[in-house]
Amino acid sequence: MATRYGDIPELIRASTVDEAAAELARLGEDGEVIAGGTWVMLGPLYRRPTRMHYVAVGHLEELRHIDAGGGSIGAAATHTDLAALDGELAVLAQAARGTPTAIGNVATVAGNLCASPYPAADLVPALLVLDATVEVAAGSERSELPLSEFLAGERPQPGTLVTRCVTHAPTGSRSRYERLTVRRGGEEAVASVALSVDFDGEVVASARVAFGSVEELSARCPQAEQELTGKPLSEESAAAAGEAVAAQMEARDGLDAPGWYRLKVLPALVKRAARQLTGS
Amino acid sequence: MTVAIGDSSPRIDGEAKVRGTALYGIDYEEPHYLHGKILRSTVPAGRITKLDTSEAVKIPGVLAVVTAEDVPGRWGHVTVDQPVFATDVVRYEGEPIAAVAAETWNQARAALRAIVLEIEPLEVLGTMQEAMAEGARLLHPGWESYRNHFNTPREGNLAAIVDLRRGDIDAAFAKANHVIEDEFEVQRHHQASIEPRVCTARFENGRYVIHTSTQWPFNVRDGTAGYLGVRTSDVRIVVPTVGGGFGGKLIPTLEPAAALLARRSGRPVKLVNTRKEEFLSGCPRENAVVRVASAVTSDGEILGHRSEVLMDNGAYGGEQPVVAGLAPLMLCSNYRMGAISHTTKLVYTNTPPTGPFRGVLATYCNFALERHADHIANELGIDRREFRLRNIYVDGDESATGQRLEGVAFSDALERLDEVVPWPGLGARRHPYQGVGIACTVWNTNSMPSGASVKLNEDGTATLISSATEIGTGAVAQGLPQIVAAELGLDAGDVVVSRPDTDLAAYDGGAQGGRTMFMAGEAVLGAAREVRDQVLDAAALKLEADRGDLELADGVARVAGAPDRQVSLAAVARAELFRAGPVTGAGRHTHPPVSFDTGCVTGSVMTTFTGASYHVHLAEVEVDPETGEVTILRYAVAQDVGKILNPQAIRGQIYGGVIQGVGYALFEDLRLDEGICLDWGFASYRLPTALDVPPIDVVLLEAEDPVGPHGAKGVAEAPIIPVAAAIANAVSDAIGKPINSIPITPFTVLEALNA
Amino acid sequence: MAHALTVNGRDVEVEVPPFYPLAVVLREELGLIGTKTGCFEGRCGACVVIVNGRTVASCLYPVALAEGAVVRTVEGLADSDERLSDLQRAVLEHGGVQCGVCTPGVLMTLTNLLETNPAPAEDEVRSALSGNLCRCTGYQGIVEAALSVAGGAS
Repeated sequence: MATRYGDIPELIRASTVDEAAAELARLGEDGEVIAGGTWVMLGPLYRRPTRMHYVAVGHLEELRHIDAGGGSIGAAATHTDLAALDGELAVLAQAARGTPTAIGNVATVAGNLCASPYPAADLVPALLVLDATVEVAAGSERSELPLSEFLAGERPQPGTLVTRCVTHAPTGSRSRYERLTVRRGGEEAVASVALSVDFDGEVVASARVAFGSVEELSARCPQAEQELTGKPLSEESAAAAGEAVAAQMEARDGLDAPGWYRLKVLPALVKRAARQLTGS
Repeated sequence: MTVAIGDSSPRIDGEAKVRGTALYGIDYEEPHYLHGKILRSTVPAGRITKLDTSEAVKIPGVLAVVTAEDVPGRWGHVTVDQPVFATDVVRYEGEPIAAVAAETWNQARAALRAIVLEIEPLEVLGTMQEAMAEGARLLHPGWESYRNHFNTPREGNLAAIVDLRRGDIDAAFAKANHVIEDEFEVQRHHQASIEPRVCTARFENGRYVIHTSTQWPFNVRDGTAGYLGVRTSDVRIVVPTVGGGFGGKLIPTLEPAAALLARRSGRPVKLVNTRKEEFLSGCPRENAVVRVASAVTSDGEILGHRSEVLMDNGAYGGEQPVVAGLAPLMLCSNYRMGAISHTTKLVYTNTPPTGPFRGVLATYCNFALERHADHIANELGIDRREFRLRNIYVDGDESATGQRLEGVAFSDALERLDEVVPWPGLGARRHPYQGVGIACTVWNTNSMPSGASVKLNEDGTATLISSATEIGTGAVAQGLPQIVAAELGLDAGDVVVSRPDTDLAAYDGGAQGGRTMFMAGEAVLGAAREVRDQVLDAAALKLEADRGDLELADGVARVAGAPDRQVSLAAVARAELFRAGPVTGAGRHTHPPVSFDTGCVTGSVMTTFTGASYHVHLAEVEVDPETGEVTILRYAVAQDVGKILNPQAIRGQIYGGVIQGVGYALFEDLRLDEGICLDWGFASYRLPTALDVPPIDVVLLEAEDPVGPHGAKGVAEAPIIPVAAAIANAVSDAIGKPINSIPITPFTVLEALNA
Repeated sequence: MAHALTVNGRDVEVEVPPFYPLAVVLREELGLIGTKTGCFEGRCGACVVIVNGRTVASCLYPVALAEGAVVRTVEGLADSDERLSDLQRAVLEHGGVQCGVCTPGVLMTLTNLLETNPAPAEDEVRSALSGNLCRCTGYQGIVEAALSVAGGAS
């Protein structure tokens, strides 16, 4: 109950995205974005430092906007908002559905990207296989950078605001997210896999694979992608992809699961995802 | 409609609970109350070298700061070993060191931060192995000087030692065709009631009045008085609506500190545990090691049984020395075992004190016993169910302590269960990685005494005055008023039940061990019968009828078969006021003594079964060999309840107990590392969710108890007991490898598969 | 700092710091104790309320984010002070209430589910409940109650 009476003095409700960006630029290290609030409110319990000022953006329609056709996902779109996506973006919807409703109703895309350390963030691997870029506003400047680059930096970058993600999945590609939990649900994945594949007939023309919760930070896995490419998607190729990644990852030990276990289950997870994609 | 025994009579607290108006301990406030907070140790072992509260008391709004200096006494349910606040030595992470009370929560927190505390670390005895090692530091160097209410054997870091010897164990093992041995290990298991422990105390006319979320008001009264060194009657416990207990709210925890703060500050003080404090201080079910060895013949007769249980007591005894005494009764049980040799050791460690949780040690004694039974059967090539049928208790068999058992419902339960889920039999064709397991258990109904009174109100309704405590089971919200209503011919809504209050109602042994319907129910029945007697006498006079011809139903007394000759209970109550005085009855009940072989056991105060009930559980599982995930395909329960009083409430207890057992079997695990609690929130301590629930079939059996009201026995506690065993037997069957520890996480399954 | 919101149809203004959790505001400022707090981690679900048509864990929801919001709590569920809602009645009839601390959050979750998905399948009910911990009932009575209301049986 450390947060009960609030150690944080100020919440600034921005009325436009530009205003939010300007506020954050002005506040610099003293400020941070708040959208759904879950990460910030849990901060004191986990002894994470809090800022002096928070700029609320969750209510800004522009930031919640999703243009599925154009692959644009507003930074403040919630897990619930994502849950209806399909087609190339199905992986994002599946990733979003793992979160219990009352949290998924407020937890946002940018929250998932900026929360750190948070290896189990479901949306990250899903966005990685969609080749997403992240649009960031720094004051009046806007820039776009690849998600992997964004993840490698300080998160959130002080003085900035994530405004949206843009996905770049090949048209007609199919995608799938598989998460493994100890209980049947209601918890973070102990390991997850996101898979996006486009087919040339039966054959995998290109594949994108990313893993969540295994290492400290989710990442794409080129070796696994190579194992899947140029042949039909099968149990064997999926297992090989899982083994390829397991062979080179250093999994984290956590209270939720031992590291060796996360690696051990990767082939099975890729197989599950592949089975869903091929409908077998 | 007049309520009958056997109806699913509704909860009298139901509407308030679904409207959100029920007043729980966390909701209860007194005018101008202060916010209390407790300073807890952050290290598991150390010597307090400095404790300075002088700055804390200067903080504006802070009205009281208390430490061990203010309350030097100790208390203990069995061994008087526990102080309210650590004196010179800290023995576990989370141990209270000081407490403050202030006008606001923020001021209370500031006061805690202003207390200067320095602790010189001591070697941490974080495991039983460390505490039992040759020459280990004593957790309680003065253990010999502690008072022990039952004079149970102790020795150094062993808080209790229980021994049972029957028959010639050496001869049995010498004669055996096979000796089969197993070792089992189980984790800590937290009650995790959704409402944390909470209380509000005030000091008034020299007495402490405490509203607290407890399962056993009289125990909290006695314990609080013991800690504070006052008469028990100087403490009054009142119980608001309780948000779950499961054993975690039986003993005093926050109450003595709150009482002291209230006295020092002159204001009411409320103390609420955070979820983290719940995990740190909250007497979970102990981690334990169980070793068993059986001497058996080739056709599966058990000639002798040796066993040892090591229970982790944590830093202080609590109720655990009593619980320890149950070990031989539960581990050397179910089956005719020939000669028995058993030892249980309860071990002090630098960890949070452990305590009672639904089913106490039976959950893991049964896990060990029933896994062991499967091992024996498999080793001898006997079908596992057949092995049980050959050896299981039948009428006239003796328990481990030599108690002669009658009304044994095991065979019946096995048979009825087989009708619901036919046992596949030895060598039956199966799907790979699917398995089935059964587990049997006999269980006790707690027989602590109870008193109650019932009064007939002048409008024809009745009020039940009792300190039996509703913790969610429905025993008080459904069962007790149902007994009154059925006896007096009233509607369910016509019985009002008082709040538990140690000033007003007779002693009650608490909401524990399935005893409320069994023991309080009998006392209530006695009270209701006295009222019934008075009503019948008065009605017979009024109706000029023979008492024997009268019946009570629909709120009236009437001549059976002559509906026009009736008088309302309201009229009876009013008329009686001035004829003989108010209509009121009192009941009291204690269990008659049970005979057993008194010479066979030492260190135990729980030597016999009362209200013994019989249970068989079955689990069908599927294991994913790649991920180690266990899916419970189907679950079935055959439970002897003595007499079905309220089917809906019984089903609720069985479902709830089984799901807690599923959590225990598969993932709940309160982990410690060198005395430091790793799981202190619901992020890593996994409670079962609605997705973890298998389909459950329930078969109820009625082997009536000679003592319980209408033949009823305890119902609520047992459903958790055989679950871990049934699931572990099924998983072992599915993977062809023994699973001898819980929880059976996907990690342990993969480890077992790859072993 | 003053925050204006609508709670169970009533416009209210509360003077509290912005990061006060909505759950605490409801319980301590507005006297709506039906909303329970069991963990302050957003994990037990006892504090679930409906904000602008969606459920939130109100223990992790700063009151300032609820500025101008329409909030519904368990106290607003009943048809009247005489008549419970169908779901409230069903959860009692099916034995879905024991200690009752999880009940308000469960009712809010299920009310919201049934409003957005009037005929959920059993697995949808169970999924919806995955953020509501009940330590007593084993969930069976709760799930049966939701399905009975969904099927119009109650």
